[in-house]
Amino acid sequence: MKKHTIAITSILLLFIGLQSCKKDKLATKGITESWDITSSNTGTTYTMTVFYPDKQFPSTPVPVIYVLDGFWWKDMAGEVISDLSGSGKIPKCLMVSLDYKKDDGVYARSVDLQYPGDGVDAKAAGEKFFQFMKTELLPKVDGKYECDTANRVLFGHSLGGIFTLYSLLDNAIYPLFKKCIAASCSIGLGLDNYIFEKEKIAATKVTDLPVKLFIGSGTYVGSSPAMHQEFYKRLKNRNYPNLKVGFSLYPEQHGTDPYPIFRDGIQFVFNN
Amino acid sequence: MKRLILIFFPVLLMAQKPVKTFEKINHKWTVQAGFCIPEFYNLGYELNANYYPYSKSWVRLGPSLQINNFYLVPAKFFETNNKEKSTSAEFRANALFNVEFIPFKKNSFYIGFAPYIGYQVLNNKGNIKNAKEGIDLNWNYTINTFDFGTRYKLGGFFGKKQQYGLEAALQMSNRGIADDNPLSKFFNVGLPTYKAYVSLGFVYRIK
Repeated sequence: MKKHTIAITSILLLFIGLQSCKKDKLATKGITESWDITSSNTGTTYTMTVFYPDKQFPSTPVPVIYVLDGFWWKDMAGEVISDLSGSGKIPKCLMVSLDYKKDDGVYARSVDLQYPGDGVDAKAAGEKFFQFMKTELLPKVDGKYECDTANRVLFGHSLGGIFTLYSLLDNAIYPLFKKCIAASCSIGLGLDNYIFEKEKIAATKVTDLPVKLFIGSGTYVGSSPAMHQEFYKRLKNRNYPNLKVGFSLYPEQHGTDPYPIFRDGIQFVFNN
Repeated sequence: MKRLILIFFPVLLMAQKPVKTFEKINHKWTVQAGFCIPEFYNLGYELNANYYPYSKSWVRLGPSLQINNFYLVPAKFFETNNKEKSTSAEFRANALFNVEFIPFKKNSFYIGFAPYIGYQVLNNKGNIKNAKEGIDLNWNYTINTFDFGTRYKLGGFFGKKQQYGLEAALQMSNRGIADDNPLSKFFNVGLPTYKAYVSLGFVYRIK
């Protein structure tokens, strides 16, 4: 009986040990710093994790990548930034990962990342979150670190992805972020998919959209890949002279498609 | 109820008082069918054929062939005017190697594990329409990948002939440990291409 117990215990310990295998954490890839910021626009306290793939923060201006829903994606994004900048495929960048001080981001994000509309949660307050980024977060980051303010990137996935697209089109005249990566967006949001309506409205207001935008989706995400492709086609057919828009599908599901989309998107927005 | 069955399963087996011979406890051939619960909004079933050429009083070893099938249960995450007809289905064929321990000398209760390799096909197809936005789209995407992982299980046989049994199992793809995606791990919940599920199956002893 003793040898059985040892064998079974060994298997269990091996199983538990394997759980911790693979996937490096951010701190092993460079320097990190965290600080809180309370927004007067949203009334929420956010925790920012700033990462730079080096031993010290930069002394000359570098691009800044803002990662929405950082509580899910910051390790992945930091690893990609570290690997790609290390191999010279993208410039060395600061990463600012947005998280929630109360650790309730899974719920709080749905208020911040949705713009109001028919069929959308009544609490949606995307505009307030955008104003927080524009008037509070970005000035603070720009003042605290050496930032290339013409080279800001916004990355969002799911609700973060639809926020990325919507805020871009909502501010089409003066886009706050000139480089955007919209991953596996909640593209069916709104009774009639309001991002399609927003795209039409933006087209009546601007003749150009000087932005580099990468859109992607996994193929095992219901109607999402087809809807993303349709949105991409409509945007591309506007023939905005200075819009560089890329699109790709990946054999992934919603939980894993952020990685290839971010990996390819970050190269697209820096190299096109 | 399922939880109670799992907790009291070993006790129930002991209470059956089967004919306690080595041959009765250690079978050669079995087939089994199980109901599976993986991530949310997903259901499935599995069919296994098991062969045990090697048996000792406390352990038996042998290969299995398994097929499983999962499908997505349609769910609306947002209020919408879209008209959508779609199916998302998964099919897998796996070859397992079972290592089963029989801790009680005169009882068929067993616990075990089985590493596996296999092939999986995931298909997502459908149509979506929205008259207001002029959307009418068809799609059909298939993902084909090799897979590997492990199955952890406990079970046992009941009745005088020890011919019928139940098995509860946790099966998981471990492919995430070897790929380059930082979002996949050794054990994943809610990722169809790195499938993990629990199953409750009925086992029939052929020989």
